[in-house]
Amino acid sequence: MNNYLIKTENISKRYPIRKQNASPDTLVGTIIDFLYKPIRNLKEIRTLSSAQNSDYKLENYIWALNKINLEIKNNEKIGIIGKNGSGKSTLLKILSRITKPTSGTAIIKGRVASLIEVGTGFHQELSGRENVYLNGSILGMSKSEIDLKYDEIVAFSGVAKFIDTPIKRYSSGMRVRLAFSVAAHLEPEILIIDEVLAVGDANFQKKCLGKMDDVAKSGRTVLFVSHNLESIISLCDRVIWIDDGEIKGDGSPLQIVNQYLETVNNISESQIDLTSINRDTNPSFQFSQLIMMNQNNIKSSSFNVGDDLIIKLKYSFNDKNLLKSNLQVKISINNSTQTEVLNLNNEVSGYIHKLINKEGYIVCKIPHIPLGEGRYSINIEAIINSGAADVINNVGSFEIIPGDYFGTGVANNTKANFYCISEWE
Amino acid sequence: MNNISSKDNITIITPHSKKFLNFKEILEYKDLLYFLILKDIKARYAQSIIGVGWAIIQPLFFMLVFTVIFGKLAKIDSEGIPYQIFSFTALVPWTFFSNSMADSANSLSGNLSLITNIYIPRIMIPLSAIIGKFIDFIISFMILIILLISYSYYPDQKIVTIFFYILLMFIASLGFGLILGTMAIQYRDIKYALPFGVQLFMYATPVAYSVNMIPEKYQLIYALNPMVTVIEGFRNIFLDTGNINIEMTSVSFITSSICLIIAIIYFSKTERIFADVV
Repeated sequence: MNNYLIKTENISKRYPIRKQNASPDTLVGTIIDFLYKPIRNLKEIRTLSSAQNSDYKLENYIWALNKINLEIKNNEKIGIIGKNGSGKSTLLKILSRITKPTSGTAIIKGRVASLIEVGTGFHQELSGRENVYLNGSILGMSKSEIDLKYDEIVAFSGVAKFIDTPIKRYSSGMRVRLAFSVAAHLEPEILIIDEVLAVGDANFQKKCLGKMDDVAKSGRTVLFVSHNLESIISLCDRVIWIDDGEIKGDGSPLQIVNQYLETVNNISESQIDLTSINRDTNPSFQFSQLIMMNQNNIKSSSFNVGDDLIIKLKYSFNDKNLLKSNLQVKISINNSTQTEVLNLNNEVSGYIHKLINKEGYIVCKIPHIPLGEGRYSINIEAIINSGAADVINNVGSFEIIPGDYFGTGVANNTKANFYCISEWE
Repeated sequence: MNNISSKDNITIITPHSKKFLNFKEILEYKDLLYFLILKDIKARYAQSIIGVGWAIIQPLFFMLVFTVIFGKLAKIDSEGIPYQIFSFTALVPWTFFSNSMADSANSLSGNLSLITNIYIPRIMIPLSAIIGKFIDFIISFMILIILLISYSYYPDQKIVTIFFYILLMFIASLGFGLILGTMAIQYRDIKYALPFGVQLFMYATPVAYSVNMIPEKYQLIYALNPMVTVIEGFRNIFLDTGNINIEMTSVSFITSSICLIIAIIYFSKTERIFADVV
């Protein structure tokens, strides 16, 4: 008796690498380049449709997934972890039939619902009610199923009062709540979730995780991609770690997460080149380098408690329209269990950074770093004109070792997670 | 309720699919089709003052312009029929054809999140665009009937054959729309070429003139354009003119059917890379 729900056999997926061609700097060169472009574009597009190894050179491809073999049984809650660009999202997209593999097969028994994005197909002009039905049917529910769950969906979303208002009048929070509650009331045999819980405020995330827990307990199979390792550990009973398109680990959550963290934390260096990292965002603006320094401007990835931590980010952009825009940078610092401990934002701190040169630096200094001993990783995000311009998670990490936080001349010897000044009477 | 038991519902994912169109799956998603059409119609007329009135403004406006320019100034032969209804009878199916073709051609590239973030049978997207336009067609069709009666043209029993021409019109716009829509996903040029392509197409169709102006020996080649037969069919039914014969009808029907089959094959072959090329 083969009691698996999902079985993949040698699933591979190949993407061509789209090189940004070096732009010629003469007018004639530009014109020739411009005229030649249609031919080049056509060639590029054609390579996507031909799956077989053809005349194209191998180095022009990247294997997002390489011979993935998996067997997932009924009732399993599976967490998938891995660096950005490791192929975990590609795997979910193949299993949810959004894209086809380049080779290999997968057999899925049961109805699959995938949540790659919250509120797919939502239309601004339609009312909340109409969007519930539209989004529900996009997710694979029939009208009668939605009819049955409609009251529950609206109640869970908390927007009952505005259900007949076009959703363009909703706040973004209301929209996300409505969208999530539709998704939460799906009843497929297999639920595939990709990082969608990263939206919304902390309160809402908590509610979502609670609902996810219910879904998991009700006997459905869940595949869950997240960078939030804590929720992976608490929700899943099996974790698969994917790196460079291959399965690096598969087993109990704690064991695999720890293996994963060891490698993640090894990338620590005080000066990190960011130009070669794969990103989903528009390449017109990019962080190109991250440097960590202490108060003496010495590059380091190891700091004493109470040192100044200086994070210097180099950026570059090639879109003239961005000139004079405000660059907002968010730096989030996470501890070894990927819990966010600090979230720093230049605009919140009252510093407006205008983009003036095509390359520049933005520097964040944390005086007297109050973090306890341990290893921390950094996520960075650039926001320009209220849109995400560049996002890199786990861009680097640093270590905090005991230090003299209070300036008493001796290193503190506590195991506390945090330090702060206290006043006594 | 959806009563498909989990054990029967087996999906096999392979690099190439053998089936061209999975009708069973389309049937399973029929509610989605309904809501997509509803969205299409509601969103189109939201926040517009005359709302559905726009469905009839386009053909009515063209009728006025054509009557002045082609009827009064150029004095094009309308086979003895008042030029207004001569052109309006053609404009009703033509407006459906041109709008639904353009809409379905743009539907895929305009709904990228439905393609890259979720799996649905993607044929639903252009299909819903065409059916959405069909509602407009029904409204302007009713205006046509009212106009004809006011000019004392009463349809006789020939009106039964209208369903054949509507079917032909539907096949033609689905075929063209699907091919263009599939191409538009990969090649953004389609979007720019479409407006004047539609314009040229109109002059290759007897909207403003009569098919009798085309020399007899070229009429079979002319009928390669399926809208020629549709429009002549409409005129034949309502105005009792029009040059309609079995040869031209067959040519149109065969070309548009072949076009639709090619469209479906091309669409299915390209569908698997949709999410990768956008």
